[in-house]
Amino acid sequence: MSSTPNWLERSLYPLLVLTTAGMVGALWLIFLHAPEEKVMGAVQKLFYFHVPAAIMTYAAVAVLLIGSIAYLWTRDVRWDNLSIAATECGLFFCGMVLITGPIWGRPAWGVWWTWEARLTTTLVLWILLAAAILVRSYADNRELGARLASVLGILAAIDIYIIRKAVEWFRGMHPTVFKPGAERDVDPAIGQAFGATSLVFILLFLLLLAVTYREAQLRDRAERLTQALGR
Amino acid sequence: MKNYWFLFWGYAVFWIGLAGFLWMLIRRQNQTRRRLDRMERELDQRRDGSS
Amino acid sequence: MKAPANGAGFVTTARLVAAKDLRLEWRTLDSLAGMLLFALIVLVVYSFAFDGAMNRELGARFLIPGILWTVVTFSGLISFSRAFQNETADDTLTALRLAPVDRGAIYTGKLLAVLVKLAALETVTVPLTALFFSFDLAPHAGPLVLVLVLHTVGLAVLGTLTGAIAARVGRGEALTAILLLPAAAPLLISAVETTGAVLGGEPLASIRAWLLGSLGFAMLFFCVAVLTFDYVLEE
Repeated sequence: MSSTPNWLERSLYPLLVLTTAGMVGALWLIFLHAPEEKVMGAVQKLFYFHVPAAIMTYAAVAVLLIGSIAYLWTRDVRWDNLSIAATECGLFFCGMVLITGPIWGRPAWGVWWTWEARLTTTLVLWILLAAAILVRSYADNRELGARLASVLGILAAIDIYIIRKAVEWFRGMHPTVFKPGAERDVDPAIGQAFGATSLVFILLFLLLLAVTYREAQLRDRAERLTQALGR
Repeated sequence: MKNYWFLFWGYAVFWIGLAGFLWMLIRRQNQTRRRLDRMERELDQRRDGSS
Repeated sequence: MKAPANGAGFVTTARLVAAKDLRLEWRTLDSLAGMLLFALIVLVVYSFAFDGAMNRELGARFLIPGILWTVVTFSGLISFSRAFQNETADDTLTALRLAPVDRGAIYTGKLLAVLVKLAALETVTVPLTALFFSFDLAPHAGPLVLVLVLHTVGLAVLGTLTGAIAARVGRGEALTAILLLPAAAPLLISAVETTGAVLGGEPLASIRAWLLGSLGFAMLFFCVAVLTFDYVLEE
C-alpha cells in the first residue's frame, strides 16, 4: 500500500557513501586546511558544525510545514510520514545546535547560556518539536495523532519565525559571526571549509530524512498488518 | 590550551549524538522488522490450519 | 467531510456555544473557582519568593509585570484545558461535531467563553497583585486595560486551540502548558514588556510596535485556528 518508492530505496546507499566521503573531506578541510581563527582560537572550529546544523533545523521545519499542510489537504499517510521524519530529524539537528552552542559559547562569551535571540528560539523550537512527538504518542489512533501533529506542525512553523523576531526585538541584535556575502578579512580557506561542511550537512539531512521516512513507512505497514490480522 | 577541550567535546558530543540517533533508528527498525516477521509466521500458520 | 454550514451562521453558532459554556460555568463554577484559587495561591507563593525588602529594592513596577502574566497564564491554562475536557467527559463533543455547523464557529464560541472567564479572573487578580505588592494602579488603569485585553486575547486564541489538542488526546493542563507556553513565547515577551512600560508611566506611543505586533499575532493565529480546527475536532 505505502511502500517506499524505488528511487528512494536505490539512492539510500549511494547517499550514505557520498555523505561519509563528504564528511571525511569536510573534516579534512576544517582541521587541516582552514587556519585557526585569530580572535576565538580553536573553538571557532565548532562553528563549522554548529551553523550548518542550525540551518538544517530550519530546513527540517520547512519540510515539516510542507508535510503538515499536504497531509491535511490530501490525507495521504505518506505526507504524514514525511512530517514524522522531518520532526525527528529537526529534533536531532536542533539538539545538536543546543549542545554545541554552549560548548562554543562558554569560551567565546564566558557563559554557558544567555537568553539571546537565537538560543531562545532554538530552545523553544526544540520544545515544540518534542511536543509534536508527544502528542502523536498520546493519541490513541494513528489518524488522530497525524491530524493533531499536523496542526501543531503548522503552528510551530509559523510561530518560530515570529518568536525569532520577537526575541530579537526584545534582547537586541547579537553579533553575527559569519555573514554570507559580507566581504570581510576572512581567510578563503575558512569559507571553503564552511561551504563544504554545509553541503555535507545537506546530504546528511537528506540521508537521515530518507532513513526516518522509510522507517515511518515500515512502521505504518506493520500497523496496518496488525490491524488486518487481529480482525 | 583549555579551548582545545571545548573543541574536542563539541565534536565528541556531535558524534555521540549522531551515533545515538542512528542507534535508536536501527533499534526501532529491527523491532518493526521482528513484528512483521511474527505476523508473517502467524499468517503462514493460519493458512496451513485452514487448508 | 466538511459539515455544510446550513445549520446556523458563524456568528450565531459562536454565540450559542459561548452562551452554553458560560451557562454551564455559571452553574458549576467549575473552572473559574479553580482558576481564582490557583491564582491566589501563586500570588502567595510569589510573595514568599519576592519578599517586601526585595520589592522595595527592585521597585514593584519591575516585579509586577512578570508576576501578573505568570499568574494569568498559569491560571488561564485551567480554562483552556477545561474548555474541551468538559465536552469529552460526557462525549458531548460528538454531538458538537455532528452538528451541521462550521467548526471554526465552535472554536470561536469556545474562545469567547474562555475570554469571559479570563476577564473575570483578571478583574480580581490584577488589583490583588497590585495590592499585595503595594503598587497604585489607578493612574495607569486606562493603558493597562488596553495591554491586558490585547495580550489576553492572543493568549486565549492559542490557548483554546492547544487546549483542544490536549483534550483530544485525553490530557489536561500539563500537555496544554507544554504546547501553549513555547508557542505563546512572543506574546508573553510582549505582555511583560508593555505592562512594564505602562506601569512605568511611559506613553502608549512608545510601545506601539509591541501592541500592533501582538494584535497581528492574535489575528494571525485566530485565522490559523479557525482554518485548522476542523481537523482537530474531526473523528
